[in-house]
Amino acid sequence: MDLLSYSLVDLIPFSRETYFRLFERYNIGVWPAPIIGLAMGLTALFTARRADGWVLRAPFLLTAACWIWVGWVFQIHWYAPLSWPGIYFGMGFVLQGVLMAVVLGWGPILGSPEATDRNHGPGLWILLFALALQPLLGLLSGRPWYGLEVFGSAPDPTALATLGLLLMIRHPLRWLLSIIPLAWCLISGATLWVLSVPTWPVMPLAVVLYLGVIVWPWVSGRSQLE
Amino acid sequence: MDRSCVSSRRAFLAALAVAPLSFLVQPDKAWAADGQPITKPIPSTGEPLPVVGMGTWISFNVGGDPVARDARTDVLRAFFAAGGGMIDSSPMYGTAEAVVGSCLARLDRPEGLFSATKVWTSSTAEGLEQIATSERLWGLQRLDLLQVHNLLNWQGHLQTLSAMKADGTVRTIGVTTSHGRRHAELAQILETQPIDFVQLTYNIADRDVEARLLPLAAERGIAVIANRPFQGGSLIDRVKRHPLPGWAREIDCTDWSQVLLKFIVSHPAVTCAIPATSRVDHMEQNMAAARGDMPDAALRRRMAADVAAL
Ligand SMILES: NC(=O)c1ccc[n+]([C@@H]2O[C@H](COP(=O)([O-])OP(=O)(O)OC[C@H]3O[C@@H](n4cnc5c(N)ncnc54)[C@H](OP(=O)(O)O)[C@@H]3O)[C@@H](O)[C@H]2O)c1
Repeated sequence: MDLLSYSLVDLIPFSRETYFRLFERYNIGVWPAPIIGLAMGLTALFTARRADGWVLRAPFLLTAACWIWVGWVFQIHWYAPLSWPGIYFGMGFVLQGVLMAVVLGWGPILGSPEATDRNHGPGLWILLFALALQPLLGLLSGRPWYGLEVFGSAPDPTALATLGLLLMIRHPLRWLLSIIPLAWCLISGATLWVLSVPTWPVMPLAVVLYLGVIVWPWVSGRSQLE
Repeated sequence: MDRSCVSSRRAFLAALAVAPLSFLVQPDKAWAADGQPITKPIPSTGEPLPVVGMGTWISFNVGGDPVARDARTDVLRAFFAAGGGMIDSSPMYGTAEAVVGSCLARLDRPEGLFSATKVWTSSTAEGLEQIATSERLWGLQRLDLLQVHNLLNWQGHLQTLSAMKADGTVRTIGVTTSHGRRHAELAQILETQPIDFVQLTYNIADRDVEARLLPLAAERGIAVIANRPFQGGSLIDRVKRHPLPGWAREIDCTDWSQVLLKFIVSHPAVTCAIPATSRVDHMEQNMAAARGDMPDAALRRRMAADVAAL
């Protein structure tokens, strides 16, 4: 396909109203999945905050399952009929779920307590925002409560919460697990921008925050050396 | 004022007499009284086509949403009630073809439909499957127009489409582009390929095609479909902030949408414009542009200058 001849607007073939209605129809269609997803998110929050070592696998395995659900059910079955790139988004989400499960669920590194030198600060705040506040942003755009996007069943809070969780661990493959969530933040931000949704900067700002938190110790360490 | 358009019945007779020049047939006042929309003949067949059709990009891509499908059925009902003809869609537009098909079925397949869709894949073989899918989604055994979308693999697909036209499985064929892209290649296609239609972007603010492509299409007897008549909505949103100029009344316009559409379809080489809308009131406004007086060349120049100055 001659992708270079297409602009961003060409790749968003639906209106804001249709996009919002998609979540209303999806939440009703997959009910009670949004509630189960949210419950999994809260479980992830509490285990990530309190646990380390072996138990710390739990939030990542729960979140990995959510990525696979969102990829297979939301992206491929609900979103892709409206917009063909949804198939590729779906494959990306499933891949992210599998990667997280393999790298963090069964990998020996996470199991050793020394490897989980966690910095709870910004990661925990991002996770809390994704679970509790981000879904409520929809209300600002006049969306009904049953059309809100929640962790575990909708892509944006799932991606954002994953970035929060990743900031709470130290792992040599963290960069690999960050690629798809970061890419999704940019794709979603661009989609919402094209649709003129006022909250569009949230996802791109999360990218800046995430990269800032990772790069900051390195930059500040270097400047101290200098 | 110059009525640069012709009535359906008379257009057809005129087209039979002087088919290659039929799109330049002079205005005919007699038809206006019967309340039918202004039509222009498709140069290659002489068949009259209402000068305002409709597009389906974004507006009809609503998926399985029953509420939105009801609303789009109302939009199509208004389109046909106003004498609408061409509906343009594409496999690229998500669920738009499926939604159009289901709305048409609910309206008991209204008369006057001129179905236009596209083939949009880099593989020639896949093109055939895509066309079969489009026919199924529209609920039609034969489409009126198949176009190569955005010139994607046009060499391969035009062979398929020409063969289909020869054996009667599609009535007319063409190519599309938009946003002013690949005009040199498009000119080459118009010069060398036996196509019935070309679809391109033409509106009061995007007028590059007036220099070469529109005269070339006229010379080659190729019907022109003008897409993005409102620049995807941004043009009409911009002009609507200003009061309607005094000359709008001279050409029977009560709304900016009619001004913008009449500018397009009064170009002698343009066969029809295909604005997209999701709203019944907008559809009624747009279809009103296919009625009443049309601007002559002098007024068209003034319209373009005034809109550019807004
Ligand atoms: N390469 C290609 O083949 C190609 C490329 C581009 C377009 N196309 C075809 O051309 C069609 C038209 O282009 P387009 O859809 O991009 O843009 P367009 O028709 O220029 O503009 C559509 C926008 O105008 C608004 N609108 C329509 N009637 C209105 C009215 N009376 N008053 C105020 N606003 C009005 C619609 O909003 P509402 O829904 O609120 O009315 C919609 O947002 C497409 O649908 C497609 O079929 C083909």
